[in-house]
Amino acid sequence: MIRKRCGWCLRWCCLLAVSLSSVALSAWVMLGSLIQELPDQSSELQRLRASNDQLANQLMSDQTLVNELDQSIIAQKHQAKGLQDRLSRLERLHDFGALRLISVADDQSRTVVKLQLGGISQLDSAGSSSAVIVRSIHPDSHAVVAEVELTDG
Amino acid sequence: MDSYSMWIVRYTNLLLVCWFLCVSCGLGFWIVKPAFEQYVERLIEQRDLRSETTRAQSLEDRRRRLDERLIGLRANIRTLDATSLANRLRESGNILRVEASVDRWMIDIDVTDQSNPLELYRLLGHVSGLTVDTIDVQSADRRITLRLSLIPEERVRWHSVDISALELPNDFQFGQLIDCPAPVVKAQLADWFLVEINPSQIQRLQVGDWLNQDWRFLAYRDQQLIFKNSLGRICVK
Repeated sequence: MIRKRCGWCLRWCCLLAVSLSSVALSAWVMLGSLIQELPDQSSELQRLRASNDQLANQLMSDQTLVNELDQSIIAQKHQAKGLQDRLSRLERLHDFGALRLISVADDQSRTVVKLQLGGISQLDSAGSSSAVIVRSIHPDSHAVVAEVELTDG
Repeated sequence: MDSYSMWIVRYTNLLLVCWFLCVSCGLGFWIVKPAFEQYVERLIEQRDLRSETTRAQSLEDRRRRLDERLIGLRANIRTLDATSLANRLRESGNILRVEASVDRWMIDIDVTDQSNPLELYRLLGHVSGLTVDTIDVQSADRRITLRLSLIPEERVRWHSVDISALELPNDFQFGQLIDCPAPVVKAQLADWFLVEINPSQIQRLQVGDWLNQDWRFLAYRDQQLIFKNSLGRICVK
């Protein structure tokens, strides 16, 4: 009885082993055919990845350059505005009427102008404006030489 | 031996279940798993390939756009050094001197022959990366010279597109007036006067004529010539 039961158990073990092996084998065959359908493109993937990375790096440096150039255009606008402000200071000299410019010292915050005028009264037009300061006046026989400081105020 | 057989009889079901699990695991581990992993690997590879192809396409599009933009920008923007800046500024006058150090560029320009000595401001509106520290204009001996002191940044660039539209004052007269002339009247014929400016220069004058660029002949009274300058002052000689 015991021997019969052992033999029965052994047969079932073999049966299970065979059936599981056939399942595993069929799964292996099926996966194999699926793998065959998908070609091995690892080398192509690596090549594409490398070229993409290289292109991305190049684009990054190009983008940096474009940003830099865009910034330089903004800087140019600031530069132009600064120069226009400086010229606007000189425009105030038109209030004095006829004059001759002897020298102009223009820096970022102020412009000092040495000029020749027909008479001192022309300087009255500067009024009480804080943006125009008459620093010195030297009357001459045929003109008045004055030094005027112009600021943005 | 009997006890061993008895154990088999007693735990047959358990033995079969364990056997089933062991064989399943063994076959799964040694046969199915490697094939499955290879399959998954291929699937991942395919997915990565698709995403890399899409990435390549988008990178290519981006490169095309950037290239177009860069071509446009590079056509209008040039990097400058002190000498090439001076060459660009040649339009505003004759370059007399260029002095460049790491932190300062000095450029002297003779703008005497220019219709507007302040034209330089417009040209400087084309530059970026450069701080215009001082601009000194000096007029002496009928010459107008301009000294530029500039502080360069890391990159100085020239922009050929003028976005500034600077409004330059163009009605300023530069240079000091020369003293009142003292010509001697040599002859008078109706409204015309023949005057000697110096022993080697005799000039014919009529009322309203400019004796020189500063003084205009206004009248002749009591044997005296009357002149008026451009600032409205009068002198009698």
